[in-house]
Amino acid sequence: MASVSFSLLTAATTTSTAQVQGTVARNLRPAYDILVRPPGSTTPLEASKGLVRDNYLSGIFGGITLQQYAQILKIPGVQLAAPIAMIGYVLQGVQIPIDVTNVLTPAASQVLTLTDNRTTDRGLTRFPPSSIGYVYVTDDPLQSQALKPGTSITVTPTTVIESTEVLPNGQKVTVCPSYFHVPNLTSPFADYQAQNGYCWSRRDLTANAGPVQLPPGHVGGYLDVVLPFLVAAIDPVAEQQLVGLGNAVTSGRYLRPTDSAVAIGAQPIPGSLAPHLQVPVLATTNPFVDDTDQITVSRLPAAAVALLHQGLLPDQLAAALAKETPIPAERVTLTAQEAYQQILQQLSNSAPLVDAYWTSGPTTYRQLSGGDLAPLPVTNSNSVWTSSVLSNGFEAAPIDSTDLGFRQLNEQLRTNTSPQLLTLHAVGEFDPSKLPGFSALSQVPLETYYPPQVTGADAASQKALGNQPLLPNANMAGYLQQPPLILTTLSALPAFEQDFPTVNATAPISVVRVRVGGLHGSVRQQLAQIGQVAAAIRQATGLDVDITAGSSPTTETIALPAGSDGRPALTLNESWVRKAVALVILNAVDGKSLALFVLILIVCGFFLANAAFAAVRARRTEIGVLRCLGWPRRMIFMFILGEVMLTGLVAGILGTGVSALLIALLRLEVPWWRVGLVIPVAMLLAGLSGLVPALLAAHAQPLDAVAPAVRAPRRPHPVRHIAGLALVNLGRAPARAALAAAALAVGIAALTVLLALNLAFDQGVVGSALGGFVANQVRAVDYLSASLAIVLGAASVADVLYINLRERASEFAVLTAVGWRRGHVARVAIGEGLGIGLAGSLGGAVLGLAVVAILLGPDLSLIAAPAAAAFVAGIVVTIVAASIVAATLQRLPLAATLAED
Amino acid sequence: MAARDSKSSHPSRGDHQGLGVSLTAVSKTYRSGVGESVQAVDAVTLDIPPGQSLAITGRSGSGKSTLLHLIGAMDVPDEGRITIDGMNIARLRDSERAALRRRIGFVFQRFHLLPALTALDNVLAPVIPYRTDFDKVTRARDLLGAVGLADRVKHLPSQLSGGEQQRVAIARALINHPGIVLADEPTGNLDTHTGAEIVAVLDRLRIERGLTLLVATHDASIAASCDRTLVLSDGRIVSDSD
Repeated sequence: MASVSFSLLTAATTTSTAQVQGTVARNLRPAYDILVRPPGSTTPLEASKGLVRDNYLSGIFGGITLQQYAQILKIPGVQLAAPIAMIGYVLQGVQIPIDVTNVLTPAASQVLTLTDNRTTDRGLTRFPPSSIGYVYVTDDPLQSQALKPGTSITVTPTTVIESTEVLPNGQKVTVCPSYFHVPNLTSPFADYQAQNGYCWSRRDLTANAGPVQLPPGHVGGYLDVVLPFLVAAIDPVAEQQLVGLGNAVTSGRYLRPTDSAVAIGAQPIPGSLAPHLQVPVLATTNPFVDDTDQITVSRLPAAAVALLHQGLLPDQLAAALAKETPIPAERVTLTAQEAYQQILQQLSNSAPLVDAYWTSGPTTYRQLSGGDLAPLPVTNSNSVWTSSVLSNGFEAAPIDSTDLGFRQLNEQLRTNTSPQLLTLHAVGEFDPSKLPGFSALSQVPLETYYPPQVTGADAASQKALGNQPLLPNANMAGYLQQPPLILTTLSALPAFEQDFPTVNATAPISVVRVRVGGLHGSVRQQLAQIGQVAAAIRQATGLDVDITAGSSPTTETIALPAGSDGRPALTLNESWVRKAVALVILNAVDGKSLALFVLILIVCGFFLANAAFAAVRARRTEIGVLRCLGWPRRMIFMFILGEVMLTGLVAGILGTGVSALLIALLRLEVPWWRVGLVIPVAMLLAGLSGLVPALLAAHAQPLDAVAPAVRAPRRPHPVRHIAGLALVNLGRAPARAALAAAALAVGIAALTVLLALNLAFDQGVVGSALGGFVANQVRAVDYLSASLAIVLGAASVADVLYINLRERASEFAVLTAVGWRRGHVARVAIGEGLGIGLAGSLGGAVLGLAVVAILLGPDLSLIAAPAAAAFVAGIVVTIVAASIVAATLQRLPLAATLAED
Repeated sequence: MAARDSKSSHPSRGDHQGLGVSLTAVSKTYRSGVGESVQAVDAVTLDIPPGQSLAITGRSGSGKSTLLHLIGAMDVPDEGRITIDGMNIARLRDSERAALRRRIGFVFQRFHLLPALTALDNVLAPVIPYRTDFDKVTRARDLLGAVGLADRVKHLPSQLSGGEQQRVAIARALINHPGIVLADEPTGNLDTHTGAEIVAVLDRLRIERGLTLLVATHDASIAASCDRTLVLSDGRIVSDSD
């Protein structure tokens, strides 16, 4: 049994270790091996916990020079170096038509209002409703104010443009007034769009000026949607080699290394007479932005028509209409994805100018007592939305920016006085979902293409989010930063540098992702080679370098404070990256394999020793007779030792056969010579185990042949119950009981250590996806080891109990003869087993605790549970073993047993 | 032992009433170590009235001990029927056999005391798992006093002489108020003098308590003192005399 256990356990451990090494090797290489960031960009939290944050790109807008990038490329072993230069956010807007034709009534004149309700964060954040204007529809003729050719007007801040309506009685009234220039606003979020009036005459539905995109015969208004776009520059060749970005292009073409800004001097932008610089970009098809606009179309009472005819100023009219009670008639829903598609069309044709862009700082965290990370809120003043172009003084800031922010925003205003304005021109689109997937166990953040993976960490947060991930939104200062939606080339950077002198022209690159080539050898050797390249990069450039090879995703818990527009506080799981997981796993597995081997050896050795002791005890009469016959001690020693080793040889041969069969059945991977090694190991163990019993046998006295097997105690103890009798019986052969308890204690200690090691192993590496996978992979062999350890211990107890019962069979027979039921007699045997079990389990648990405390430190939370579990397991198994042995008493022939004694 | 009429002069108390034993064509065969069948008891038919003392004699291997073991429900006959107090003991379940054994006192040739227990606890041993309607310890002490061992209560068997150990065994046999005592060579391990003392003790207690007594013995003097003597040979009754 011991040899089979030994063989099986070592084979299982070897197999499991090999499997783990294979798993680690297969998942060693993520998309890139080394992440290079500007000096100081590694946060203290990352450094202390060996992590790379998911938003590692956020807050890094440049910092690495082109010269440093060139140095990286020259370092031996660098197979590929893919740079990302984060430029910043640009705002791009589009007018979405809102068709109200279906809600019109037969009334001759009617006023409808359009109200936008924007929601985000999976509907948890609801911004205050904002009016986006009114629609006036009349049967009367309307005439818009237009300059006659050759005339001019003087525009002042109060200049109003309006239409003239001819009422049925011939009276002319002015309607739909609007300021020529939107007046200066006090806030970029002021509700000035309420002044927007869309006036239509049923006599001529083209009367309303503007970008009419409604079908002929339809009337309505417009929703201005403005979305931030994160722009980054890449090296198309390197990016193609790194992730095959070109293969994900769904329309147009991929970027070329030579793509740079093109001056379009003779082709004016609609609405502008200025020539411009056209920057070629590749745009994502998925903005990963969670924003939804719900536009409510409401009818106003007939009195609203009279208000329009009063000739009020735009702001006065908007205020007056706001006092009327709207009756909702229709709701139109528009997602950011839909708006984004329309903006993409603009980018393919003629995009709006880039007169400003924004960079955002990194998020800083406060570590809570439980280890969760709480991002610290940041306040951005309205001045970050200043516009040097728009007449109202502010850029069209998305309303999402009124929500709680966690990043400091910095606005970069165009200061170049050149008439050549910057525009973005999409040469193609790419679908991030078509990018090649990497092992889920080893992927590192590919934030160039995906937003951070953030999900609810507790039931309340999961429920609040509808079991969906939290996504970025149009709040550039929000916790989640969108991935770059627009990619351009490093060659196009000078165009930005020209328009925005504040851009980090000397060090435009934010990060460089490096793949190391020519790796060979074991996992450790490959990691060492990558480490050498990383060290060389650090030495040559002075940049922050993280080795991402051998890393694995891990989860950090984020305590996101409640938003200012309804979103409750959320507890979120964010996928970060734990570095050097591969090395930790390999070290842990190696340590565990060694510990298992030693434990298995001890348990098996103890089992054999116990068996050898039992064999000698069982033959005390024979040995005593041999001593009576004059056999010298040395000969008896050799006789017993030889017999034990012969038993070891036979057991080893049998064990090898059984082991080979089991190993084949269980499909364990172990070389045949390892299986055959069991024979000499069994002999050696048997020899070592038999040394002491053989010595004891050699020192036996001739009279031992006739001495009772079990002696009476030196001092009598009163016995009034069955448990007392069991206890007294144990005291009669204390050495034997102690041996059984010790055998069990070794098993229980082994189990305690195994459980604690497993727990430590889990806690050490399960924090990563790869660690979790590996921990599950080795779980089976752990359970096998623990089971066999405890079974060996229990078998030792059963062995000793059986010998006890055999030697005291006549006593049990007497008790039966004087009227005890067999159940009573069995309870004595089980009581003895329980006594040994208690002593062994307690001793084993304490021993295991001590070993674990030495190995892992006195962390009660880590060692208490395994010790308690092992203790209980020891008791249970001992009771089972004792019950099996006690069952043999049921078959005790009373008369024969009494006659034999 | 006392004459048969001594029973009437020492009527037993209600709980000391001797039990009657009846054997009808009882046979028992053993298989020896070499595989041969040994007819230990061969078609024995026997009636033992309550309160009678019966000596079973015969040479070694004649079946004396086997007969006692069968009557004591420690073994089961291959054939035949044994009734004690009207109960067919072959049909009893384990708990019923245990209950029957509590109505039978055993005295063995080799005493079979529990070496870890004191004299007092050895006497108490049969009642340890059970509740009794008498005070166990007081009765055990009384019994030890009755066998002349009042001063050896706390001694271990190893600290007692052979005769003392057998007295303890007799006291143990009586702890449950048995109706019958089976004694298998009770003096076999004792010298003549001590054996005589043991016989005297047994006889006295039998008379005092109205017990039925079955003694397997080689000792002619013991046989002579019994109400009735049975001689066995090869498992058969060859003589049955008063």
